[in-house]
Amino acid sequence: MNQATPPAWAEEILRVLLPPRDRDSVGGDLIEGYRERIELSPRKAAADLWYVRQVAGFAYRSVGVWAFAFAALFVARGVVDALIATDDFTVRSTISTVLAATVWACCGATVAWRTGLIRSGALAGILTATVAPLVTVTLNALFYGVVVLTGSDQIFVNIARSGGIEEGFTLPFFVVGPGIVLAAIGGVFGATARRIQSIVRPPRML
Amino acid sequence: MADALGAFEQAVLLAIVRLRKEAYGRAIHREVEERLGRSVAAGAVHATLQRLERKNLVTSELGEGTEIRAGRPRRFYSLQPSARLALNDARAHIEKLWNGFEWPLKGRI
Repeated sequence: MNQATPPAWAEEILRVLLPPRDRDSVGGDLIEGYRERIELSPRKAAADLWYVRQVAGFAYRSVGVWAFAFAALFVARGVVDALIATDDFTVRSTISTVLAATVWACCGATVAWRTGLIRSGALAGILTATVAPLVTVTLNALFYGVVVLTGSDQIFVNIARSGGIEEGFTLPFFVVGPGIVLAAIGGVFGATARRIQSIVRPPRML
Repeated sequence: MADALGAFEQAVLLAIVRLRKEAYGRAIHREVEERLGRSVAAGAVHATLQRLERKNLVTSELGEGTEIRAGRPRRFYSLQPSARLALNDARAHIEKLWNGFEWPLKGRI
């Protein structure tokens, strides 16, 4: 029986994303699959890659919806700015900033609520930060592609006045820092709420 | 009529039926991959098992670990009576859809 172990960082990510009930059993399932792969083919790199892909699948299921929510919000703001002219961006900026902050905080809070771990919130923020900007930039590229092909002069004027096309490709990367912080703060609330709940109503561990 | 089951839910439930007493996470994952003939994410199987538990179609309990799992416990799943009803409904539904056709379909449709 081989004693090979998967990358420690991937194991830690998996542990931090799973609820306590599944932490050991799912971790064991993946180690079993990992060692089966090593038995079949002694190339450790292939087994490592398999393990990391499985962990990425769990990560996607934990935070994917929040990454897409952030991207949708960001792109929607760009579409509104392009299609509806305004001189005062204050209201729009306030609404989109509050909504984006809510998305990041909820991302951290829900993951930390599920796991009961404060650090899950920060990890959820980091994972979302690696995916959300890429999704946002891709969707923005599609939108601006359509604008370039079919847009009117007024739309180009509106885009220029709202910050320009380049903002759609740079801003998503600048907001991830504050986003991670907000997710971490959300994580504190989520994990604390879970602990209070487990004191008031202790879980049944089957 | 029980809750309608998706194709993947049926694959997971049938894996539990086939594995009987040995239906734990990794074994179910392997069985589903083998039957579907493609690789499947462990996360997808896990999410489906959680959903089936929420629907009260399966129950689970922790068992002992083994050396290949670095001693970590296995979570064993078993079907509730409602799962058998749901699987029978799903099969009957498919049979009804295919009623009157010869399989495999041949010629122009």
